[in-house]
Amino acid sequence: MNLLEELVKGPDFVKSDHLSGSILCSAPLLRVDVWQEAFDRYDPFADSESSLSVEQQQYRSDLSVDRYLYDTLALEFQLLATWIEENPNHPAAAQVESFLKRREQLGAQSRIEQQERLFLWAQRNEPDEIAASILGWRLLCDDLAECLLDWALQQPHDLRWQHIRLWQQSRGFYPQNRLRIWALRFLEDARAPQILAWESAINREIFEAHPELLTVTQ
Amino acid sequence: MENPFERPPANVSAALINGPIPPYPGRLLPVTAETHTAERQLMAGYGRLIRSCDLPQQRKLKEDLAVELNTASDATKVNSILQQTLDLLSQNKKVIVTGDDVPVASRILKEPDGLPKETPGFLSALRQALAGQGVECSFIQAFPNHSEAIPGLAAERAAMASRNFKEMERFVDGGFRKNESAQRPEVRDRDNQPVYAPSQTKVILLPYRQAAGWLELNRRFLQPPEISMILTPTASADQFIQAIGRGSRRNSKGPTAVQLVANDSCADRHRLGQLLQGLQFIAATGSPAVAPFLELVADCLDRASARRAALDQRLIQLQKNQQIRSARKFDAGQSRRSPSASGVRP
Repeated sequence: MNLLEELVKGPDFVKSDHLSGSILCSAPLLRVDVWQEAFDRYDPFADSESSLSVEQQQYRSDLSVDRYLYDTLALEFQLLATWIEENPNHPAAAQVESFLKRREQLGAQSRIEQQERLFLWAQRNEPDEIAASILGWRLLCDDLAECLLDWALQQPHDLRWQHIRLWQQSRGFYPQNRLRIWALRFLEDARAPQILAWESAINREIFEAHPELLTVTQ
Repeated sequence: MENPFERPPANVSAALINGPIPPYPGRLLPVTAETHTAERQLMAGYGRLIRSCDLPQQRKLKEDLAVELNTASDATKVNSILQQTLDLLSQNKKVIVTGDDVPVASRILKEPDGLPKETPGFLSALRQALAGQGVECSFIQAFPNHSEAIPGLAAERAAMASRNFKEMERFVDGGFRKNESAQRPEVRDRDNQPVYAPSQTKVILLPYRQAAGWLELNRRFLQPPEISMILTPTASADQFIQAIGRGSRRNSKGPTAVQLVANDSCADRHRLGQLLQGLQFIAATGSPAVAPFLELVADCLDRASARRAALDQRLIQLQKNQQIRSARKFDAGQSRRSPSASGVRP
């Protein structure tokens, strides 16, 4: 392999699907499979506007999928919070409690809309170091999202696949949105912590140098 | 994207039906030793940067390295393509040049005053060189990245599109008028035939990213001069095929000459390798019209690789010879010094 090919070859992120613990399956506890229902109910044409170009429709659809995944995880958190109040002595209570600790990290839904602002700023401010980080973060998440989708297609019965099903029709213009939601839901997956770590690092960098870019969600 | 194979270049389709595929020439330009050195410096410099930063920045640096190498490689082609364009114009031909137009302020290479070395985009540099020769050309600007999708970029894109249409209007033959809804229907005569009018410009510079579309080029007349297409390498087979597709919708009857201009830089060999893979994929899905372009790219890549291998071989031989010479000098020096150094009298 020559030097150039070696330099531009794929990024060296964690690709293993190893689990560090058992994944919480909320369906038997809630008596409803929140994710299956969400998938069944999703209407890809709900927000479509025929006056828009195909690319703009796809862009809107990508953001709409991101919001939908966000809302579904928020709903699962909410239902489990109610469940644990009613079932504090259930054998699964400890696992549910531990899972609910991630709720704070979900943040506001406006984080999803914020990506466009960050992206446009970064495009206009290249080669600023933070702009490079923002654009690189998106590219890196795109690589990982593609890798996850390929993996998921071979694991149709895995719980982690449920989330990724909607990605098939919508690859995600800002894949970091859906990756974050997936990572929060499946933090036990070896690929998840890096997703949250990248985001934290970028947010830290932006907050130190350009806090005005994050004020919307702070 | 539309399918450019709905109407392949006239001479390709004729050749596929009647006989052997006509050879499309690939032109391999020489690269100076300085360019090779600069390319090595860039790769070494980016290598250092990549090793010292986190994954998101690494990912962006990898993109930037490819852009910087491509722009540097294309910059070495400007003079040759300028001469080639002037030759074609003197033969009363029209010219479509397709390439990238990405200016770069190097992260690694510096000017003598310490500022980053700036290299203009290939098409912009060619435009300036043509202007220096008194040749006015039509210049299509590339839209901002992803502007087709992001509503926030729509206004900028629309303004650019309007300018681009005007530029294309100057290049195509035939008459057009504007109607109230800002469409541009062609002017037709009493028999409802398009009226021929020669174009204002004879050269158009078309970025790969804007190569698709341009229905204006579909209109065909018997009168216009022949078209020659000059392309620099791109890694994207889709973009390459879209650009070639302009040759089939070239606003004139008669053959279109297509020439791929490359060199043996790492950037071009990398792009040609990627392009070849993409074209092989398209060919495997049943597009026979790709065959001559597949051959063209494969031939260009083979020649570029062979030339580079020969150059590397020469460099290795040169280094070996230098080592041998140094060793001999060292031995000779040692043997001259050895009696006194050893303290043994002869």
